[in-house]
Amino acid sequence: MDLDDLKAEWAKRDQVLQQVLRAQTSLSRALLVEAQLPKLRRRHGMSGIELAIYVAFVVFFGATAASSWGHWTVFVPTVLLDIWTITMGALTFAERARLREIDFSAPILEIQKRLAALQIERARVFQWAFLTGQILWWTPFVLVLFWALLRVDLLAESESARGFVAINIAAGVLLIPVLLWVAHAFGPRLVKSNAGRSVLDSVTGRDLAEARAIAARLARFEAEAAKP
Amino acid sequence: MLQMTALAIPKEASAMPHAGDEKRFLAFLESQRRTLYKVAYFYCRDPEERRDLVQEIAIQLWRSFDAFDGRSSEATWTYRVATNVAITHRRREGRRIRDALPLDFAFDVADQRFDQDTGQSRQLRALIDGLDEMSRALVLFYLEGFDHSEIADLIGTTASNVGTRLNRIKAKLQSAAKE
Repeated sequence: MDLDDLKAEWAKRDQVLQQVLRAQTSLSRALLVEAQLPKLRRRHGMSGIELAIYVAFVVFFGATAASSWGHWTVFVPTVLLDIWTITMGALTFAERARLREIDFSAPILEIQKRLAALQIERARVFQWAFLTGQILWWTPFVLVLFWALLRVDLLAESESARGFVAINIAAGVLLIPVLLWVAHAFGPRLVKSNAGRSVLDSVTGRDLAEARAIAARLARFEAEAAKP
Repeated sequence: MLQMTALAIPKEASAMPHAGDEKRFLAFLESQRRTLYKVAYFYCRDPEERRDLVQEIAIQLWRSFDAFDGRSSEATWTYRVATNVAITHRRREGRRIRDALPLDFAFDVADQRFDQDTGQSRQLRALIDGLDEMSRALVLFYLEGFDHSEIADLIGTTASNVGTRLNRIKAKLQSAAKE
């Protein structure tokens, strides 16, 4: 059977489909659907909860930085955390705004290339955030938290606290390759949920590899079709 | 050749939804059920997954509805949106869609009649399964009766590129049939 035979077969099925759908009553649950449509008008940017958490952290770090002026061992990590949080939020907003702007009615190759490029960018940002977060987030956050809650400058107060911080930073750096190996080796077996698998793919770089493969396939489609 | 009906949307449609847009959209969606089903059939084997995909397509059609300016035909517009969503959906298979519409297109009857287990059906399915996402779009539009320049317009390439690609697919199909 060649493609033209399949075309005739497809046309026959299309006629059957037309008859079947014509026999169905008009779109049932139309009123329910109509009521839902206005809520779906815009793509989501950040959800209300995401935005609230983001603003809360930015304000918290800002306020803590202001109160820790002069205590440099608290002030500097607080400012670093605030900058990191603001940067991550801005990148997320920007990425979602670019996604909202995509016109799905544009030619298919153009849209798929743009989506692949966005996916690559998103995967890179997530990996970068994950890796730097191990070093930039956990230990500085402990220092900031001690100051915010107890007004204790951990690094200034005790020798053992400085040792604790140094060990944590070193462990954070060393833990990254270990975590990546565990995620690659055991992740798919351990993580069953779709959300978990999504995070896992981002952490292991599978997302990035997949996005690059898609971009390469699209480039090949364009290039091959142009050959004589 | 497909029969195309004009979509009654004023050319200067503003970006804000108008009262009555929902009703017009639902009427439009109902007129496009066949197209949505066929695109979903090409990109999803599983009937349940097809329903998810049709939902996603319907939501994207809605989000793009007020920006439709009539420069392309209704069919071109629908096929482009639907195929773009379908290709993206395939890449995220298994991940939950966030939004949902309580649509009921009664596609289960269509599944029984459209996707019967015959020799030709299996050949068609084997052809589709062997194609990447872009080639699937190419073959779908070819089967739908679009000519090369229309397919090129849908995909965003040239008519000669479409012809070359289709010839390669035909040759591949013929050599597979000989084996």
